[in-house]
Amino acid sequence: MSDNFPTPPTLTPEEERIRRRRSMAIALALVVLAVIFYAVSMVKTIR
Amino acid sequence: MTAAFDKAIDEDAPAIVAGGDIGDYFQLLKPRVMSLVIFTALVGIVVAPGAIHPVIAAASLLAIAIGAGASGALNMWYDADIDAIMTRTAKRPIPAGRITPQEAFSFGMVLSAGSVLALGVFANWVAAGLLAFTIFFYAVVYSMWLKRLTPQNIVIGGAAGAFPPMIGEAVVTGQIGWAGFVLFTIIFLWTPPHFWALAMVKAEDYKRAGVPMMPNVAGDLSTRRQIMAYTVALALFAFVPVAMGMGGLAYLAVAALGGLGMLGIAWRILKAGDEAASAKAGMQMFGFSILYLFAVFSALLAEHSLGLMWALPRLV
Repeated sequence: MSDNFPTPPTLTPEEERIRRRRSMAIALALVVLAVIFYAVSMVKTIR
Repeated sequence: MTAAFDKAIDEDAPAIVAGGDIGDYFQLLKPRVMSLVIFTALVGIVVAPGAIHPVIAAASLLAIAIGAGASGALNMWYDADIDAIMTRTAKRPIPAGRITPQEAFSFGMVLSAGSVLALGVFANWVAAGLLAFTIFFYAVVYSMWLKRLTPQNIVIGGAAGAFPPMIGEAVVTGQIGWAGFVLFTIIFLWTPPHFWALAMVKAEDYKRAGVPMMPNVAGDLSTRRQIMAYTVALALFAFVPVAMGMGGLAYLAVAALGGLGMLGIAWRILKAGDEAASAKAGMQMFGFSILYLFAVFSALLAEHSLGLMWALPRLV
């Protein structure tokens, strides 16, 4: 069964760095999105 | 349409490890276009009859900006083949090989859906529907259909760039109104002189890529005449906000002076004696038209948000 899976690609240090930066950016975007949704919800509730 | 989506599936290079950096993804959003969208949508929000909480306005603007960026990413995905041929676009992330077409397609689709849903939740579903239509219009009607089919591509496709003020107004009022429509028309009439001036300068580039821009299809003289015609229409229509009471004295002054500037450059393009003079006037039009649009929208913004409105008698 496991023979059917391709070998995971080996990343160069540069690729590792780029992937880490990208992951951080996605995480940050999600946090910002959560904050915005929270703020909009509060504004709509208070009004 | 089906062929377009097949394209996304067919180009199945082994994209297990995405290669693009954050900056490459940001470039996919066409940040310069996005900034213009944010600005014009903001003016739509400010001139709309009604009030909105600043937090909701800011969140809505962000959703509109991301929607605009998403349509830019979808445009770059579809146009990667011609972008690679044109010198102006060859360094974009897809033709440069930093991002695969699949990544750009997924990125664009996810942001499109996310921005429309977010705007629906933040503001209302009329504004969200308009944003969805704008993304569809730019990515499908303009990029996939009109751009490679007709020299009227940027005239009809220009509507996509003109929708943001209407979305802005809809964010506030929940409907499509006259203020947004007037701002839409100003951008719609502004688009042909702006892009045809660039197309005159980059005619060889477009020819090589097989994009039927007006100078390549109808010729230089016809394009110059049409630039003049649209500029006259724009300069005159720019007074409509004054007649409606939407623009005051400051706007009137900016629209009049800016209109005269646009007409002066359009005249120079029309009367250009040789190719060098034509190219020079074309670049002047490209640059000045950006300044013009920024100035007339800034005047409205200042009048409505800074209390600088010196109202004139309404005619309509």
